[in-house]
Amino acid sequence: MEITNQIIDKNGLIFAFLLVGGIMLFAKLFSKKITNNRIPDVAIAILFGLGLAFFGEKKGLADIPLFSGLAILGGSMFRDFSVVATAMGADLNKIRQAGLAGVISLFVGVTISFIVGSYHSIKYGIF
Amino acid sequence: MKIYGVALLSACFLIGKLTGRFLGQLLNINSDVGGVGFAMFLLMTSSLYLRKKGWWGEESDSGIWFWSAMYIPIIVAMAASLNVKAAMTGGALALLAGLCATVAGLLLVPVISKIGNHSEKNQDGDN
Amino acid sequence: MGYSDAESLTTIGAGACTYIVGPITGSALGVSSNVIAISVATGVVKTILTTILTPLIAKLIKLDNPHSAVVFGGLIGTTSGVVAGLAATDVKLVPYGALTATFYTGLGCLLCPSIFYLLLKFII
Repeated sequence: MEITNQIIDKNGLIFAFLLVGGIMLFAKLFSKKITNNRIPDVAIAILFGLGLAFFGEKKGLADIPLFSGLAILGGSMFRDFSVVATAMGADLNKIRQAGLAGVISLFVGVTISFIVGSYHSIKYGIF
Repeated sequence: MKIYGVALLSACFLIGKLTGRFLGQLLNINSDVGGVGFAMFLLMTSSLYLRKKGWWGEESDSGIWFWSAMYIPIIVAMAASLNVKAAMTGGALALLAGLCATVAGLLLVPVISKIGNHSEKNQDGDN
Repeated sequence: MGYSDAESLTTIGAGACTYIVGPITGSALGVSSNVIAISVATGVVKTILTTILTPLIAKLIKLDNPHSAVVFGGLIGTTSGVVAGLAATDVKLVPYGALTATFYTGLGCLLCPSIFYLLLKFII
């Protein structure tokens, strides 16, 4: 048992890959079997992640030494890096295809969401 | 080589972050002003340019695709390492803000769809 | 009563865009982990509601052609919600919605921690 802990301790990030892979698989099955694919597995996986964070304190589940690798994988460096990579899926040439209405909808969509979100936090407060 | 893709991604990431920080300093606020957004824009334009020049291969692409596909697992890892206990009081706010942002977006669909609706047939033809 | 620092408000507002824009904006502005958690939750609520509501009110908002699907993708922006919602409405519309939704996160990450943050800071 102690040797297992030592190995996981030294390879926290790798263990986090395994853990998240397990969560994604669970979410996929949950989405398929229980919600009949009605709720995307991505949303379920994130909710499940948030739920797991209750087992810890300030750094969520990563507060438990065994799971500390989650904080590295989910830290701002990897997160921002992978989000930037998603820009590869967006072909700038295709924005012409979306037309004026598409471009306007993007700006209006971001602006309205932002206004609604920040308005509610002013009005009702977070704490 | 896959590493060329990852290297381009890293270059865009770092330049974007630098631009964001620099802009923050210029505006006298101690934060990153849109760095990730700049990085995404850079990646879109630079990969487009390299492809046009014929200096970009499928292999290089796949180095970026890997990281792009990792963003959901990384967000899940992040969700599991957040301070959710302290966020509990904000649960109602999250529900309300999420609901209102969604409804606002949905209701605007017919309004913005009116813009340039005559191009509908062109778009049908394009695809 | 309400929450008043511009950084936290911006983060929740960004979370209402998507669950990606929220945390990215939050860490760029240096807010605490619990505010980021609320912004992620807001984005997830939006994704789930989009998936459930879209097929129900598609007729009402005339979401039945490629043009309105492109607009829908741009207005909602959460790619997973847009794709799932359109798939439940009419599978043929999915690529049109995804076309604009892929740009949404980038635009959000560009606007929220910059212009929108500065505007909010100015107003408060």
